[in-house]
Amino acid sequence: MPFGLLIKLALRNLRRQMRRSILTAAAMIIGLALLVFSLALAEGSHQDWIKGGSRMASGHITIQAPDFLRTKKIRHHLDVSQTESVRRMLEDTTLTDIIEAASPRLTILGLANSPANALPVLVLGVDHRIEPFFSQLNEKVVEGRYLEEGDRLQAFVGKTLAERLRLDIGSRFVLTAQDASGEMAGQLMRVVGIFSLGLPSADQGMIHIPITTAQSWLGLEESVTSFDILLESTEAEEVAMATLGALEETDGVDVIGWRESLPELNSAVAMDNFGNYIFHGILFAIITLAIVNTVLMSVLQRVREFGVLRALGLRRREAGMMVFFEGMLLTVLSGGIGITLGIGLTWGLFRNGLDFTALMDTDFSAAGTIISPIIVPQFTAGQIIAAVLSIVTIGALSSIYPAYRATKIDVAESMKFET
Amino acid sequence: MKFSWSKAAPLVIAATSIGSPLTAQETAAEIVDRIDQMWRGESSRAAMEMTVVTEHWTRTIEMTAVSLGSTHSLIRILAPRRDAGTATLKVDNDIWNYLPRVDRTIKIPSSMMGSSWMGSHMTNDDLVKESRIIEDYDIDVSFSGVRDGTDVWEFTLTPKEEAAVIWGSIVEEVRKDDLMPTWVRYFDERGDLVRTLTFDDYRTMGGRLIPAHMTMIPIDKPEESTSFRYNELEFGIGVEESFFSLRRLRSER
Repeated sequence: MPFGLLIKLALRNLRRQMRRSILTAAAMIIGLALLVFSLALAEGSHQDWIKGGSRMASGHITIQAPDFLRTKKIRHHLDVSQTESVRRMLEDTTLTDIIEAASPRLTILGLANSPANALPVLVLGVDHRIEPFFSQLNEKVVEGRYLEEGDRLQAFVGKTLAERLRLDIGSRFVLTAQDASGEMAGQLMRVVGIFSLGLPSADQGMIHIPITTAQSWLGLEESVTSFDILLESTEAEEVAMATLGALEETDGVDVIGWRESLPELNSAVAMDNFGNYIFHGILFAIITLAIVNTVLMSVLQRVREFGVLRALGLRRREAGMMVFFEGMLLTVLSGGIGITLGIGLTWGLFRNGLDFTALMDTDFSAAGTIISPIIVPQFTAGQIIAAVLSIVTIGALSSIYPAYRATKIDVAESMKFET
Repeated sequence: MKFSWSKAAPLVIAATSIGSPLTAQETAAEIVDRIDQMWRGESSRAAMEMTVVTEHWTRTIEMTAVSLGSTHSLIRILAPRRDAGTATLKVDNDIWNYLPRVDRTIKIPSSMMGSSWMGSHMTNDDLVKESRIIEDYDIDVSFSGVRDGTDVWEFTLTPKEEAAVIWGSIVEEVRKDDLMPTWVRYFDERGDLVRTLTFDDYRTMGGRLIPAHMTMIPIDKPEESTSFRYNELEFGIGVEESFFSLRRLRSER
């Protein structure tokens, strides 16, 4: 029997039991629409985490001297010629289009001393002209102001840190850290502004100071410890990595993506993905079982019919194929509708983001990044492919057993069944 | 709150080694500088007790300390028994702790520099810092005359414009006749007293007059204190820099 005829038969069988087909299709449609929505939401929030996390830390890509990532020692800095090469490379037009901000920084772990306390801090020597586009710390001022042109001994400190050191605007404190030659160097600073980010690690342990001050304090001339690069979008990472990667060859620097430089963020995304996989797996299993049930029932109800078909010359394999096509047609059609509906609804209703503000009482942070209460769902080609593949898988899985049953029907026995 | 060992100790030990009394020509800055310089290059061995009083507990630790200038020192705890053998080695800017019970030597990372040394009111960072009083402070005589029946000078130390020091000012009182410090008061920039260091029990040890007892009180917790008492003290013991090794940190008992 030709293929086309089998499909035609399968379609007719589905149409004959319209109510049952529609109910099954509804389960499939809702399930897949939900799947698409949930994938888009997860992708959206991951993008948000990555952007937020990179913004607060060393960007999507960071260019450092080899070993700096591991040691965090100031002697592993980019020397003057490396710094110059990186600067030149960053002017490349393919990069300027995809880079949101590229910040030369001098990052060092040190100790902040005041008469009240001594606390470990992460000191960032930064360029005040670039930083508003990168960390945007200037928007988080609670007192005073951000660093400005002409600042030298001015420091911008976290709120909790200022409280613990008992510092006000204008208060003096001393930063101590190992300088480039390994000696302990102290630097007097004065508080010019206090920020509150809602991110405990930053609020209690981060200080921004002018990069020139950091350079003279630590004896580094024009050098920096890293160029941190924030991209317009995470997807541009590959292109940027490929272009910047050339520096590894020519200048012996390390070009490091966020997955490596922010491992905790990477694992947070991976863990969340894993949780989603489990959730989607359960969703799949339920949909699959529902469809198995429907298709199997339709086979068991039609034993006599199959007997007649067999008696008319339909082969076992063809009977099985017909049932398989029924299941596949049902899932593929309803799945297609489900995906379209899911994309349509997500796009139509939530393209400007889902506001979870009501569910979060204050700023919410995880894995070193602030999670925005507004999540904008995002679609990627990968998700759509995954959804389509999942339809085919569900269809195939749920049709195999009923099809197998259909091949096992004995013609003589089947005649005993009433229709 | 913390106590600066290296700021207090030079006063204690070096002040005693000034032979001649202060002459009229010497300015306040010269006196303080002389005290500061006297401390450097000096080697000493001390047996001392540290008593830490906090809101919840009080403990006394007996220890020996060998030092060379302000750059090298090795401190070993003798009692209480629980901590006996625990030692701290300081060479220039680095500190290592040796814990005999687990037989481990730990280099104090920079993130731990701000935490307390042996539960006292001083931090690891206080051990590392080397005093450079004359470089960092302008020194004036703020009082000269008889106070409580003793002829004293009161010096006020004001940090220089960009000096990397945390204090708003330091005021110290020195007895004129024997150049013994009686107290040091540390103020923050607002002019609030943050901690006081007082000296007493002046006696001759190792051939020099020293205040054998000193007490640090953090003003915000007046019921707490850390105090030191010298039981024995020797000067010029002839140790070399090579004495201060990690091997010595582990082995010497």
